[in-house]
Amino acid sequence: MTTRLALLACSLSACFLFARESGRLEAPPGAPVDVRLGCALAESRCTRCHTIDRILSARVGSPAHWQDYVHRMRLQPQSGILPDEERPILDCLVFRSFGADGLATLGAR
Amino acid sequence: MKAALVVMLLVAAAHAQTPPEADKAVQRNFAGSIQFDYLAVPTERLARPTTLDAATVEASLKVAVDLTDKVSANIKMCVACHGPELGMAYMDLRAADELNIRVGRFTPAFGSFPQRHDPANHRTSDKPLPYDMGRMLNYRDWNEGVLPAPWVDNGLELDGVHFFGGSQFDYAAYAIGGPKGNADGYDFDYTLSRSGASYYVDNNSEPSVGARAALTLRLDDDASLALGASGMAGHYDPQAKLAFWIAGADMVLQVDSVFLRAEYLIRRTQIAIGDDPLATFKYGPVDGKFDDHILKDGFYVEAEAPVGRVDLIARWDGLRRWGNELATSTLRENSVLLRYTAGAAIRVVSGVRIKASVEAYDFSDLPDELAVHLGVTGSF
Repeated sequence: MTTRLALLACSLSACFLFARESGRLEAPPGAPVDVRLGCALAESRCTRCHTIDRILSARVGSPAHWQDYVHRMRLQPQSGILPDEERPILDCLVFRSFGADGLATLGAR
Repeated sequence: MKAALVVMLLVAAAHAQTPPEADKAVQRNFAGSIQFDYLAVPTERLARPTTLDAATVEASLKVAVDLTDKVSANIKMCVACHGPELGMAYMDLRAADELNIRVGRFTPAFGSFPQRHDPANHRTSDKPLPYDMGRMLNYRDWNEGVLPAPWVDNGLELDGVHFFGGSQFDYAAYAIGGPKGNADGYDFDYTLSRSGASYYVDNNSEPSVGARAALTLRLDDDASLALGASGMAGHYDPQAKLAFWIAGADMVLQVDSVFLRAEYLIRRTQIAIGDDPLATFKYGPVDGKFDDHILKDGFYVEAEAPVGRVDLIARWDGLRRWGNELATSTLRENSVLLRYTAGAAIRVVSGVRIKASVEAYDFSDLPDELAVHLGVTGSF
């Protein structure tokens, strides 16, 4: 059993040594300040219930899709996402997925 | 009460109806997770008789559909040691932020941890002891935790959220089938809740009911404190004669990306004394009478802090059980288990984490044990 565990540990450690991931919800280069702030907010609020990977791996087809998604998440118990924080978080996620053009489809705040 | 629930459902459904939005496509989200975990027990030559050691896999696949901005549906399939199960199959009909009706098969609002029960959403390979679902050592002797998570049941839940200032208030009230047991019940029998042979229906024609309230206070931009209280009650035997109640309190303190979590659960369960209690039970009567209740409680305190790509976790949790025991039981009239866990979840690439933890078990009635978890969790 100890040998099996050691082999498994070595294999997993190798993955760790070669890994190059920040694990942050980073705004793309050139993103407006508001978007950067929204990403920092999303990282703080969303990790109350799940890892940031859930956001990074989400398959979202349109800005409107993100809109429904973030709204549904805000209404989760103990989400900690206040009504006026929904839009900054949405801006971050839409900009990351669809760039400035996607952000423009959401309209004014 | 049943008629009132139906009326409330119809009223909420009427409020939830909005004009069809022809220009808005139905939004679907697919998500899933896989956890491979290897549990080694260095203090036992052969641990299988007392725990589900060695390699286990937990997997889930979920689809969430936003039909309109007020109606959504969730379906989630889970596969774990117990085989394939339906973890979610419900509709949310939202009349307002403060009023949502959830109908179908879901995890009723109880405590804080169940919201993070998916292996991809919490950092250790297993769950805190009050919510253990068969991964703890000697799980048969202890009959798992106080309320195994995720508790999945058929029913109806009213819930809502209200924001005021920088704070958030959540509530939920529900009626579900409830835990099940036998007519000569001595405790819940969790296998009956996931048995096709006994059907996925209420076993006693009487719903169990529960409620939860939670308050999340914003302390400053990077800090919040959430406090919650939960309760559930009902009967668990086929004749609806054996009562139970569960109460819980929980706290989550977040400061920047550091979390401190604590929960306490307590369950009082009525047991069937039977015709020959002297032969059935380990302990005799007190003042000529057998106590027909057992009490089980549990707690956990957990700190989680990210250091680069590594999330460090330290947890202290425990279970306690008071009351008579079956003559064959290894436990005593007052048994205690304390567990100390140190762990790390290492982000390898996007969506993939290595989880490692060491657990020291301190049993009052059984030999102390050491357990080591090593695994990989992926979310997609």
